[in-house]
Amino acid sequence: MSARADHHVALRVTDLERAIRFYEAAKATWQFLAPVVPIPPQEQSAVGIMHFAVTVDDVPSTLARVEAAGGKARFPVKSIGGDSPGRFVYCEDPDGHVFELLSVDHPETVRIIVAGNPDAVVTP
Amino acid sequence: VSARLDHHVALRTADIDAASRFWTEALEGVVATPPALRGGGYFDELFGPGTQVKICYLTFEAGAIELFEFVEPRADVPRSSQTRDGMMHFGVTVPDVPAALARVEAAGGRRRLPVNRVGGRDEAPRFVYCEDPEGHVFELMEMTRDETVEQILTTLALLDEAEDA
Repeated sequence: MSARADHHVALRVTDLERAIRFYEAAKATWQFLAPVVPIPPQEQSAVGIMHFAVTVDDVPSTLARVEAAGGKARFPVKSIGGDSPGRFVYCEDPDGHVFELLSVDHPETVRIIVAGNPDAVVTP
Repeated sequence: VSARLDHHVALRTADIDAASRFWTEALEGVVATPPALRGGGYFDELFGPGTQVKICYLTFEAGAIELFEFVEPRADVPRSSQTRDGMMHFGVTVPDVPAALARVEAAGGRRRLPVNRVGGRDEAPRFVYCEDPEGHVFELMEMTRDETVEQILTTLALLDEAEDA
């Protein structure tokens, strides 16, 4: 069996039109007409599903678009570390959903994590 | 700017070893980086000063799940609520929903509802909402993203026809 964990992430929003404007193609974004419940804060050490991550070519320029669209960074853009030129940042959409922008793909991400953890052993 | 919404989904867990077992047994995830305790540096800025967190990175045929077990501060993992949470669930494409569901259940997960077909149409792909042992909700689907869009549009068109009739 093969599983592709990349189909969609479902977000609950308070204003669907605003969310669609923000994501531009938010086909998997839901708005509940009833019951109307406020979106809770996405405190990373308290929620279950913490965030989702997006691969981008250039983190600062994507962050600029995020901010122009009404989102915000949770902290300044960081270097991923080691010898990688990759960068990342945690952002919030206008409802406070947290997402991560990264400029590295999976293999590079794994390589960086392993390099930063000398005891880590990669499963073939 | 190109953006691919396929890098990973991050889940908080109270037991990172048990969680990584679940995802490897249920959906054949591969432990790309085993649980490692991290703290200091930018982790203080990510999650608060003094945070200690174990992280494990699992890859799939596509996409990944990043597991976080907070050692400090430690807090219960809330079970997902589709009507109250901000982040509701994530979707996983599988070739056979009942077969994948059987693996999920054998690994300790459960379904939230019976397996359904999109729009209730006999020929449509199947889907089901599931929970992992800690209550994170994920959706198993027998269709790609493009096929999902087609199915939703078909369903909406049929609903419009029924309304006009």
